Amino acid sequence: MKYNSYIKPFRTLYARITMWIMLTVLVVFIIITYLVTYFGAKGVLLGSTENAKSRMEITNQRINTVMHAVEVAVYNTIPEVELSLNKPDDMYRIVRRLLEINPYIVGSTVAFEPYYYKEKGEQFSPYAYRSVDNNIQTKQLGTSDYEYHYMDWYQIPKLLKKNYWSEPYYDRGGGEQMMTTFSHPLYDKKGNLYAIITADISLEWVSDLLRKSDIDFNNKALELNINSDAELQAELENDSDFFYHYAYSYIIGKGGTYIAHPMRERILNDTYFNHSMKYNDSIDNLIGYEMIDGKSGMRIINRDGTDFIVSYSPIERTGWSMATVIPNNLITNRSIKYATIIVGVMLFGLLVLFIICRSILKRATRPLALFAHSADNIAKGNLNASLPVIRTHDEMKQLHDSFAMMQTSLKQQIEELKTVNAQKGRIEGELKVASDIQMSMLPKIYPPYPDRQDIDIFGSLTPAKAVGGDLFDFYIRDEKLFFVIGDVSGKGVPASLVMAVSRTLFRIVSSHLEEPSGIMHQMNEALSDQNDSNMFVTLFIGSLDLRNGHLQYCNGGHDAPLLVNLKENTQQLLDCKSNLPVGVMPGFDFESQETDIDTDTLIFLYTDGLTEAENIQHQLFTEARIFEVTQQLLTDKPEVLSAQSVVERMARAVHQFVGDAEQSDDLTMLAIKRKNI
Amino acid sequence: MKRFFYTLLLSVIGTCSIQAQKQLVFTPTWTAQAQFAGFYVADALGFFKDEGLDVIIKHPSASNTSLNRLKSGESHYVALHLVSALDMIDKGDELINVMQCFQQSGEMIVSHKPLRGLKSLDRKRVGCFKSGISKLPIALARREKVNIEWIPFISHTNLYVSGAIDATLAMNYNEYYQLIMAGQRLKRNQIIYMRDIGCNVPEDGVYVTREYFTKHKAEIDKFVKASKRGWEYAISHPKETLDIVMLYMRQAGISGNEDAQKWMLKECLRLLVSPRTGKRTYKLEPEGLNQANSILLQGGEITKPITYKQITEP
Repeated sequence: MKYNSYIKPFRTLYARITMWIMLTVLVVFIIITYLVTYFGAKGVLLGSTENAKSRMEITNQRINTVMHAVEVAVYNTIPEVELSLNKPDDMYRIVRRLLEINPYIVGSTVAFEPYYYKEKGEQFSPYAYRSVDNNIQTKQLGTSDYEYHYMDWYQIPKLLKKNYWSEPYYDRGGGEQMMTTFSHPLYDKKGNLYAIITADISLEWVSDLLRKSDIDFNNKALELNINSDAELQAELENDSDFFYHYAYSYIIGKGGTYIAHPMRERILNDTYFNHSMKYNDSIDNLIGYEMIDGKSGMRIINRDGTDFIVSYSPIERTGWSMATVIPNNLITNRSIKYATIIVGVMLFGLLVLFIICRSILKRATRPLALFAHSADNIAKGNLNASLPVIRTHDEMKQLHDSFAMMQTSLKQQIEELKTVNAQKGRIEGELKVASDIQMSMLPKIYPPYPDRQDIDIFGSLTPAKAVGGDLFDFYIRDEKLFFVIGDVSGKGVPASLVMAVSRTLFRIVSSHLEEPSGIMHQMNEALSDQNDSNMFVTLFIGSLDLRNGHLQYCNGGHDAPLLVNLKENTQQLLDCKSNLPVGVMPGFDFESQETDIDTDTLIFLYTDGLTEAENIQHQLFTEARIFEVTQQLLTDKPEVLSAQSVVERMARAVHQFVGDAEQSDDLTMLAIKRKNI
Repeated sequence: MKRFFYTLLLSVIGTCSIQAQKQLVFTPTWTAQAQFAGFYVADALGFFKDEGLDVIIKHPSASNTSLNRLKSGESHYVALHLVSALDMIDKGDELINVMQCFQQSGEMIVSHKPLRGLKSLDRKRVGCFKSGISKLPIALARREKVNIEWIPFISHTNLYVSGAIDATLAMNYNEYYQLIMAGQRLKRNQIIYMRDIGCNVPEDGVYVTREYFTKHKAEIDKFVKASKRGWEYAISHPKETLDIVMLYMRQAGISGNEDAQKWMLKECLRLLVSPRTGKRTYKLEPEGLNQANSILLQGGEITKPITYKQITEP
């Protein structure tokens, strides 16, 4: 019941067509959605990473601009240092001057080799720096607690003999800020190093730059809602969960030390590898290695089940490297957001399509139901059933016209049928009369001669159609039994007419002729005269002298009769000359024959309706079966065998043989038994 | 942990109230880190107080090293590397080893290029500690006639990472870990452990002046007893010990990395075990002393061998 009610909506044509359209559109829709989501995610990823790259390039340029300016400032100071080598204390003035004209430089020194000026001792490094109130102060940098000859900014450029940007460090000497130092080795004319000149710059602005860039990136590129610096800062410092929900950047130094990172406590305290080695993902370490090796790239790492896309590229001049980390779900979320809009629009479109489809199809197919109703009415006999009104000029209109035509045509045909049926009934009635007349021509009272003990006759004719073409007849004249059996060519009414003529001719002609051949000759002449329809009849005419059993007979193309001797229990076909059928050739000379029929002998005459009776397998009854039946009769009770019993027994046998097969020809049998008195 | 915090509280209160008792100053070899975990534990958990001692830990600075503090009398007990101590004794200072913490060497050489023994470093620049603890490899190289340009450093990482030096000396528990954390991908063939080339000499020990030794034998015994207890506690409670180390680092104004300190603690605790006996004796073993003597003497870092008696009970 539930199932039926479930499928019920799809019983109607418009519902099914709508369903198929919707299914097709849905499949296309799903494919489009998948493709849009897939390529959308790729596009968002590409856009985000390109954005990250360009941000890194901007940061790179900003840092480089500052560093380049520092380097130029230091180079410009070198000639002054060289000119003042004889006046070591002038170095204080020189480094102070460097700070004065370059506001972004927060400290500078010319640090000399040990005992370069013997009077200045092992350490001599005039140093200018900005105090807390931004005044420029000078002092000797090297102390027993700060042996600058062992500091990176001094040792590394000295050993490498080239410029060196130090790894960022935290200045605890007064500035309390992150700094980096540019060092340039100075050589005398002999090529011996005599000092390292430096310039310090603050790196606090790098973190600020990165933070602002991150906020911008999160807001614009990833469409995340970070409204203020303060909000982001709060996120950064208190919530490590931040890393799973926002994109962020960091910079690491050559040794992996964090120079800029959203979590400030990591800056200068931790290296990249302090953290990466805690994770199982070896890509994490690989990224760190590639970064400190100065390579660029983009890789995906997994931390705690979350994928992150990391883009990184080196910052020139420094050996530092910057990376931007974007949680993959931000990319996915964005593409899902776009996909959701598309899916929403498509779903709405689908709904509209469904409503329109359903409405149009319902309207278009509504007449079909009305046509079906009309057809039902017509089928029930209401030929005047009304048809739906169609205003369109399409297939439905054609259907309407066809229905209307069918209705009209049906009406006409039924009228014609009525007429035909009436005619047929009349013909059938006439045929019945004809059949009755035909049957009345045949002897139908048995025994025909109840007073005579010497003769026993029984005849039967079963026409294949209403009227038949077979005939038999007999009568006694002058103690002679004249009998005939015949078969007119063809069937039905034409044959029956010829049969009636033949029987009448037989009665007329035999009434004044004795010889069967003469009778046949006369009949032949009469029938063949003006025989335009080429009808003919096979006849066997006999004249049995009832006194002595002498039989004169003439065969006109008919089957030879069977003689059954009841005394001797023998049977045989009567010797017959074939001759031509009657009506074929006028003037034909029919040869007469004669024989003697003993008492207790039965003459069995039949038409080819017996021998050629067909069963379903198209087997014929044949003479052999006739012999079998008579043989059986002889075996049973030959002494009481009557003409009627032979005919009836033969009829039964042939009916049994034929079974359900349709009777194809008239079946006529005539049995004449000469009895012993 | 509760006991630890209570003790800390007590120690703060104690510092203010018990002025009458003589305060003993202990100075490790360097700034606060897990290398001195046993002493921090003894201090934090009141093991010194349990012995009736009022000990304060004061860290050295570049200009005021532990040895300087010992000589000036600012510190009564100092931690020193055996090699540094031998060097000082050779130069005439009278130092007495009262406790030997590290019985093994944690020193190693790390190179940019693969090494095939010390010879691979011939005519190379190798970073060495500016303090005296590098004297053993320097003596060894000299003995082996390997000509190395030694570059003294205070901090090795950037020097090594920048490529300014070809190789560097490192302590397995400290500098080595820093190099790994700086992204150095070190393979086994880039490393030579001093212990693998016949230099598995004892390292950190506690030293006092000869004068102090003769006058305060009872106090020394108590100090050593409390310190041993501190180290043993560190072995059985490494997690709690790490917390204590991090606390002392914060107090000293050093922003330490916990993972680095965890590594250092683990490696340092390993060095407490004698390679000869497999036990933690906390006593200088003559064999270790002789090995150090031999290398330093052959390398010309000391002029005459320092006898066991001379360094332990003059």
